[in-house]
Amino acid sequence: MHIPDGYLGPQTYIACAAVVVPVWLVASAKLKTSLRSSQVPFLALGAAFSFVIMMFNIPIPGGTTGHAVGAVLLAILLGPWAAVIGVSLALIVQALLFGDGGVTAIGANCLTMAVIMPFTGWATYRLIAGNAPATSLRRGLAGAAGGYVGLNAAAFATGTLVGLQPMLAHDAAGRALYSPFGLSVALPAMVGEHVVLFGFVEAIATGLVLRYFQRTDPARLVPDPAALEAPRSLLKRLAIGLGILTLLSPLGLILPKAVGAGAAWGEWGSDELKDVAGYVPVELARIESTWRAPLPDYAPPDQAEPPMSRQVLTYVGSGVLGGLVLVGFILALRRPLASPDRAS
Amino acid sequence: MTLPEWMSVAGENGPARPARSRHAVGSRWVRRAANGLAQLMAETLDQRTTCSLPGYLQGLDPRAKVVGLLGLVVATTLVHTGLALALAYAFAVVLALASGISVRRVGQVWLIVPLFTLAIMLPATLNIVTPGKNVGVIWQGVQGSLGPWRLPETLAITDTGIQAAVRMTGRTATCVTLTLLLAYTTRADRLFRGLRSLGMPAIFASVLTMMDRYLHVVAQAAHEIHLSKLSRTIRSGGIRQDHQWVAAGMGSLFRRTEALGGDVHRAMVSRGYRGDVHPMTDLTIRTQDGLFLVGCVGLAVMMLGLG
Repeated sequence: MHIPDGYLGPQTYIACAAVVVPVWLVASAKLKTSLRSSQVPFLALGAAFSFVIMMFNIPIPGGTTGHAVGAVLLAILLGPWAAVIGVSLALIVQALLFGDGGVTAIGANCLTMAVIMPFTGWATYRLIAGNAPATSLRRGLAGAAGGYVGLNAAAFATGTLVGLQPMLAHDAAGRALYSPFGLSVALPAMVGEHVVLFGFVEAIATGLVLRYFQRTDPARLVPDPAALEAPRSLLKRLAIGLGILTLLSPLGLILPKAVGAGAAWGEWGSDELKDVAGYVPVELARIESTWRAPLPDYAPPDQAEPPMSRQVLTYVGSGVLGGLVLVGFILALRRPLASPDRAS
Repeated sequence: MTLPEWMSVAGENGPARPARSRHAVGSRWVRRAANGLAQLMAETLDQRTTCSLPGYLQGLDPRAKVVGLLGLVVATTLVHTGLALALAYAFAVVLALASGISVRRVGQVWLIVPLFTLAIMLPATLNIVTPGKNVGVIWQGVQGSLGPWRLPETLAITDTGIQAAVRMTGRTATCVTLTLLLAYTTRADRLFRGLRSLGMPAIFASVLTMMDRYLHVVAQAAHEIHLSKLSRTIRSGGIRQDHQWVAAGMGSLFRRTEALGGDVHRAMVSRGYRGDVHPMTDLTIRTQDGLFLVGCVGLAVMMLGLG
């Protein structure tokens, strides 16, 4: 997944570096407060571990092997910010001293493998593990799921960065100046192999190492009481964010009207499709009539052209209703899906 | 001489075979990982040896090399003509030879990334990815489909496709060669000090220096874990056991690394470490460093002029 020099144009590698540098600064500041003077050897050895763990071969049924990146494992064991620094440093040394991954692509490689991967994997782990006891199977499975999701998120980001190149940098004749493969090739190629194969390698490595610690050193996996408080404040912030977004949602109604834009591409109803294609496919018309939504197009029902104020109110109301239905659905599923460990 | 009873596997004819045999293919991956780790250690030692050779780049200030060589890497990613890329590559080869790095070593660079790039770029030479003038037709007049995909009527290699593949491979080869010149002629501690004095945060430079110092130790520990597995393997216990062994190896390495971090920190504190690292020697820019920088800037300007 290491992008070499020459695959990304300057627009991309400069933008990636601009995103990663502030993350490094925040990570550095976070660790400074938590690790104090032992920070340097702790991080140095963590980075060396991150480097070497990539060299462990993991057997896969069929006789082949893969290797894990270990970013999610590091995030679970040391915290996501330490993982950002540890994996970033390992990637910098790989690029500068071993030519593995480009120097100009350090920002991009760190963004995918040292930022996106540990954070998505760690969040998945936290979401699934919840408050489960340190030795529960659920925690091991959560680690495996975190490894799988984290690696695939990183692969998706890498495929997107490489696949954007023909669009971002091309000559007057439209020929790509850097990687010539567009999103339609780069994304399936990069994501496909990780979804089918390497994601499972990462999942096996992360899950089994956690199981190893559960057997030998479970205290390491005991949830931090302070961290357990975090989901509550996180939920509060999420609820506020959701409320703001719901209130802002009518922008999607007002702005297209203001600039005279049509329906979103591919989201046409049969009447709009008739304008675009000149006819309505028979099967589409048949299937369209099988279900009548109570609030079609988030608009007041049975009114051809309602006033904008009414449309806005119905839009916001639809957002609130949709949110409540989803929250109710998840709460209803919570009890049957909750681990028996949690009740103890 | 016959094998003792306990080395034979019950229920099978004959004694158990050592890990190298075809019956114990399950340990090939352990051997491969052990070889990879040994290669990493050999490479780091080789780099340190080359750094201490008397040579042109070895005698320069690390800051001049960082700015000059990495500046050329950036310039290489900005140019698209074959002549500009050839100039940069030729410059890198001349620098390598002047620094005592053998032609063989420069050639080995091609085995790392450029060959991989060339393999990836092969489909880009086709008209379905890079339209252009056909220079070699693979098939013509075919009408059919492969699953959901319709086969193109004509599949051919195009002139622009070849240009794109050569440009990408050349650019990657030049960048890797320039980067490895820096690695092979600059001791890691001096390289990171150079980066520090060019604005890298002190904490990063210190951590990188220490990481480089202990990378060998951690790699050695991982190598020993693999060797101990190899030396105790008579036959593979199946993939489930292999996975558990890998997990235990990773976990054990993590604990050893963490313990080593604590030991190193206590040793540093006992020697007076209070959070800041003070280098024992100063870096100085001399005339030859200035001349090298002027040469690099001149080449970069020339390359950008060629486009």
